[in-house]
Amino acid sequence: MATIKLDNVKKRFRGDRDLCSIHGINLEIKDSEFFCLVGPSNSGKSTTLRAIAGLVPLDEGRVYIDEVDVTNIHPGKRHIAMLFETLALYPNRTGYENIASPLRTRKTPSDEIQRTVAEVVSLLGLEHLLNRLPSTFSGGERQRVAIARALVQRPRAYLLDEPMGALDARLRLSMRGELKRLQRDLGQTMVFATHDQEQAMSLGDRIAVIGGGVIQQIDAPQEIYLKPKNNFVAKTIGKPQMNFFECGIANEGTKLLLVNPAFRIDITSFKPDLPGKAKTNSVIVGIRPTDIDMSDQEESQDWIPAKVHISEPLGNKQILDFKVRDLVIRTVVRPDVSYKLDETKWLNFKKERLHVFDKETGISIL
Amino acid sequence: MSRIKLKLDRITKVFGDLIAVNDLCVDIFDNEFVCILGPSGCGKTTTLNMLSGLEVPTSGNIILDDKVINKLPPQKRDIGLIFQDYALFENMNVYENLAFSMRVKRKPRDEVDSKVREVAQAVEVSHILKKNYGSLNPGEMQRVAIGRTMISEPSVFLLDEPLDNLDADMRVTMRAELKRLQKDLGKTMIYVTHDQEEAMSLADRIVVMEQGLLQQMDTPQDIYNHPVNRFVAGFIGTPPMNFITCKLESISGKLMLSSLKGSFSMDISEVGRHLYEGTIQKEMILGIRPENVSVNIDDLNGEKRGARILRVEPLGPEMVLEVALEGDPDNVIRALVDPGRIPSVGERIEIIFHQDKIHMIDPLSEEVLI
Amino acid sequence: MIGNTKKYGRGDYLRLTAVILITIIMLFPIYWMVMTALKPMDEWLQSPPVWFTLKPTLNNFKLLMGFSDAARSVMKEGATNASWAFLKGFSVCTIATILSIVSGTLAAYSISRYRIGGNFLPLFILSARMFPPIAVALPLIVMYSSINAVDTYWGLIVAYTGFTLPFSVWMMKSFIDEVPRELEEAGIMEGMSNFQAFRSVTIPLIKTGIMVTTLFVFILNWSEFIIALTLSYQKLETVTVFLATLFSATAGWLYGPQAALGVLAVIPIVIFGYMIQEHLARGFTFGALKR
Repeated sequence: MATIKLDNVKKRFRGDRDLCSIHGINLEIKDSEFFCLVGPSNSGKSTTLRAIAGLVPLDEGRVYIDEVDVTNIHPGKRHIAMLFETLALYPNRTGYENIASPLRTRKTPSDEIQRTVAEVVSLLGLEHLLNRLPSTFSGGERQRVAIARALVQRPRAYLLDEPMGALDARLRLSMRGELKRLQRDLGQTMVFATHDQEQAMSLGDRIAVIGGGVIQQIDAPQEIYLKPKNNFVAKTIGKPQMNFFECGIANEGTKLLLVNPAFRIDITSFKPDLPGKAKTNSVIVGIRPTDIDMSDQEESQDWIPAKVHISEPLGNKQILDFKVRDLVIRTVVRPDVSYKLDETKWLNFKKERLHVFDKETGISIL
Repeated sequence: MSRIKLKLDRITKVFGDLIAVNDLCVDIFDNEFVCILGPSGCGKTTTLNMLSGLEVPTSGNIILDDKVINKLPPQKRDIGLIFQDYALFENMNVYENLAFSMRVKRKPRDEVDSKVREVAQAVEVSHILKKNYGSLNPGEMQRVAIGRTMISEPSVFLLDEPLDNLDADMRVTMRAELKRLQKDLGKTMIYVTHDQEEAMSLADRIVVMEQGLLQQMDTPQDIYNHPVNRFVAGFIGTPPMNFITCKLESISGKLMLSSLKGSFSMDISEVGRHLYEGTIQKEMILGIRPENVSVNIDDLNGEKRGARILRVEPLGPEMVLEVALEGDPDNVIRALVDPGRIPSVGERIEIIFHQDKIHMIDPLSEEVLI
Repeated sequence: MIGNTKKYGRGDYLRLTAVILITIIMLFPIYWMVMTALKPMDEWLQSPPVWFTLKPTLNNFKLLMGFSDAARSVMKEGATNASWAFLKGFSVCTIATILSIVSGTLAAYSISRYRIGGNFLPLFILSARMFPPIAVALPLIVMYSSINAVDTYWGLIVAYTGFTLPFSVWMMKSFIDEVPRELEEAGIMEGMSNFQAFRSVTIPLIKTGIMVTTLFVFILNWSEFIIALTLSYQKLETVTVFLATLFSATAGWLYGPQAALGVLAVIPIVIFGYMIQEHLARGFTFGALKR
């Protein structure tokens, strides 16, 4: 259990490693929190974790663990365990040796090693792997051995770098549950980096969205989902991805409209301050596929006629892509809705769920 | 009525003691997008290897366009294979990658050029013919890989988990592109994956495999709504189906399904009316999908049961709640609900099962009865 | 077997013949050397050449060891016998090899992991080997004479280490590159110091590389002639230098004993190669496929 703080941490890589630069990361992670770092590949997640671990020397900034400045302290002495994306199990050592390795390094007496390893092994059910080499383990087994190796260190916090990358979809789902349960039972601080926003949403107490080496937003999952601060965050969180359209702001008498070649939306009563807050007349409008209504008739003037373009049935819902002029609008509908390709339906964006972003900076207006 | 393009007739592959593929019978129609779906080790990659010619079936026949092709080497079959990592040539640009196979066969230059341009247009890479491998994005790489396979004009395409290495959001975009491409080209595609969501969104029909055996072959919606056995029911659908062990009894003329600890019981006389006598008094597994478990809704008929919240997963457009019925802490039930107020762990809520959407599974045969 | 499993066709027989032919051609020099080592003096230079001697003798070997009177009369004044040359040569080469491997591996590690020297240093090290040793022989002896290092064992060891370092560094670097950095990072997170991680994690995983590079460097040292000749005067002697002394005023070049020395010189290499043979196949194809 520990608090972790990163204060304006910067590190530039000049292509000598396959890690990405970070340009000023500020984070405060609470005690016993399950903290998720989400972002696409090459956003700096791994670098940030390594900065906390101490595996990369920093250009600038400081790292604090439990309020103590550990910036210049060797990674091994920070009492943090890290799980790598590739798991990094020693290929030439048995399962037992892999798990016992940290204890051997610390010169723990061998009876204590045996006891601690046995405890962790029974917790994760790894008895049958103790005498075998990692190359014979399945994906899930290697995961659990890596977790065991971290557990024996009894660290103050855990750093996990895309730990589920190598697992198949099914295993990932069950591992998610196990991991959350483990974290809750142990009460440990966990920092979890992933590109899969669904994982982050389901596991995190708080999520930090990272992009281009900078933290974009930190918040609870639902908050980030409902109130993204900029279009990068809006794009990263939420599946299927939010629809983005370039629109112009127009005045028609007393009405305030968002217009673009494919549609016009009346936002008079919903976002009246828009013209004042927007810097230019051209903005980016975002609407999530789940916030679009669909109907077989034109319910009101505002509704947009569109042709069914592609469909993806997903069991408990269907994803329908519609085409209007050259624009593609993605929606999510209930599984029992029927349609035919190229059929025209009417769409309505839920106005209270519209997001408006500045075209230049991407920052959310309002 | 489409004709059968590819037929797998009792295909079996044995490696020593291991039966990797066991008596597989599959008919694939012309222009169909078929996904072979299953967890690691189910036999899907072996099946793909037999189709491409990299492996020879131990027994059974592969019939393409009414010709048996078991003994043909890969290059003589009318099948194109696209690898998981595309295996494009890194030192060549798009044009050269596409032209490679024809140049190796020493075709005349103008023939190569016209064919490459034709294919490039079909897969929409005409505008990037000069681009080097290093500057291609994953979408372009996928199209070039497909284009390269198309040059030899196979009638069937095999794809081996091509989207596996991509980020989650990239995968979704590529899926849509791939599906559209298949429809535009009008070719038969066979796609191997372990991701059931991918299979659901891409396939016209899905072939579900496990331990070398065919479990079910159907359209995505049919597989979702009418799984034939426990494996398929639990494998397809996210979040996965809930399974609760129950007792089936006849009480005062009504067919009742109750949990072992008695925390709930359901009158299933209507839905279960065609069950035969022998199943009564037996243990049954109740299967119900999370979206068919409702929370705190007043206007549904059915008994509301009290439950405690164990875990909350806010996923944005929806929320997953893990709950346990009162008095039955071992049975964890997942419910998929619309997001709203986030309840706290330990809170008491009321849940209802949608009775018309339940499945019943025989625990011994693992067949789905309802 | 990919695709069909036909019987051997004509193309296969042709290929087999070609391979056998090439193997015979490649192994012929060794065969000739062994034969010559067993030939009596009159057959050394016979024309037409004697392909298979019917009068095999061990005289050539005896001569090397200085066992016969004929030997003592035939060999140059003050010449030592082969066993001394062997001993001296072997110690020099072994020590030089060990030094080269140890420093090369350490250098390779820092270049691989920490990019010491940027792009310049590794290439600079490699460029050292681009000079043919004979071009450096003269400057070398001038330098050495000014520090009284000529005709010393240590002088030669240092020279050999320097000449083989480019190989050590580059070969070990490619093996170290293959070890994922995260394994060492995992070790560091567990509490190992950087050096401990190198020793406990990396080294065991590059054992094959070390074996292969050691063999390679040893062969380079063992067969080196020019520098050894340049730097030796009275005390210093290696096998190659000794070979060049097998000349007699009356008989000319003593091909028989020279061949016999060749046979003996090959033995340590063959033994070493045999000991590490399982590592060899792996080591030579390492890095062939880019992951």
